[in-house]
Amino acid sequence: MADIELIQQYLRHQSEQCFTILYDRYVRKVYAKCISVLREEHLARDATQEIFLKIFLNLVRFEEKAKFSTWIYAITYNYCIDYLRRSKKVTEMFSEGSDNVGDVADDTADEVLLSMEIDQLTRVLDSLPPGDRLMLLMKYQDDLSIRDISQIVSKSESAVKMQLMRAKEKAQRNRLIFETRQRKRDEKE
Amino acid sequence: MKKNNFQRLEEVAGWNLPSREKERIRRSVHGRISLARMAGQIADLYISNFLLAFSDLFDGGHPQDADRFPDPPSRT
Repeated sequence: MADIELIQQYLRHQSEQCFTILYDRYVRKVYAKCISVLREEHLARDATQEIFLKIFLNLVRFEEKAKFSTWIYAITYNYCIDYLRRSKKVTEMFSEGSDNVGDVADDTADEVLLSMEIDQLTRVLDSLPPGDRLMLLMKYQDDLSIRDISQIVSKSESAVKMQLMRAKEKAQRNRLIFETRQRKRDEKE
Repeated sequence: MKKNNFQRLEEVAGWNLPSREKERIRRSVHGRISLARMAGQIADLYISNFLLAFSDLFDGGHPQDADRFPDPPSRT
């Protein structure tokens, strides 16, 4: 059954079955996003709980203009970013950089990112500001379009492209730093 | 469909919620939603009864109020 049918049935009859199907469909994604940003399991579990509470209490406000998954991502994204801002655990939410980034560089960065080994990718993602990490995950893990991401983060499409570009640049830079360090370590040994 | 390294990361990085935790969160969320709905229904009931009981007070002060309950017609 499609998301929208389940939502309508849930709103009409408050059926626990519809609630469970919707919950099961998205809980893994929501938790994965939370743990990737918040980094601690207990925080990610609490966040998942609060996010689902928000989702179901505000379900009447869901408009069919956007996909349900996009709406859920938006709630998850905003919750995590708000949490980090409130707890002041991070000093930098997004990386900053130059405003002149070309399409050629964009393709190269894509290739570099997508060819990384899992260990390397984990380390590189960990080294990025949480906002950048989330954007890259939405783009490459969830395969969301720039338009969807712009709706989720409430920014223009060009702003999203720019932010993604900066995130990729930073990821590439950090990867080189890690590789150089590793090479030096290997040489010593 | 072949998964890229980002998609494989989700499986290997321990980002999966254990099924016991998944069920605990499901129950907790469902319980809190039911509670919130019940509280909302009770509040609705009390507020509508309150408004009904004191509607005369809220409606008072209008010149046409005097004609709302006119005297019954006299029997002749």
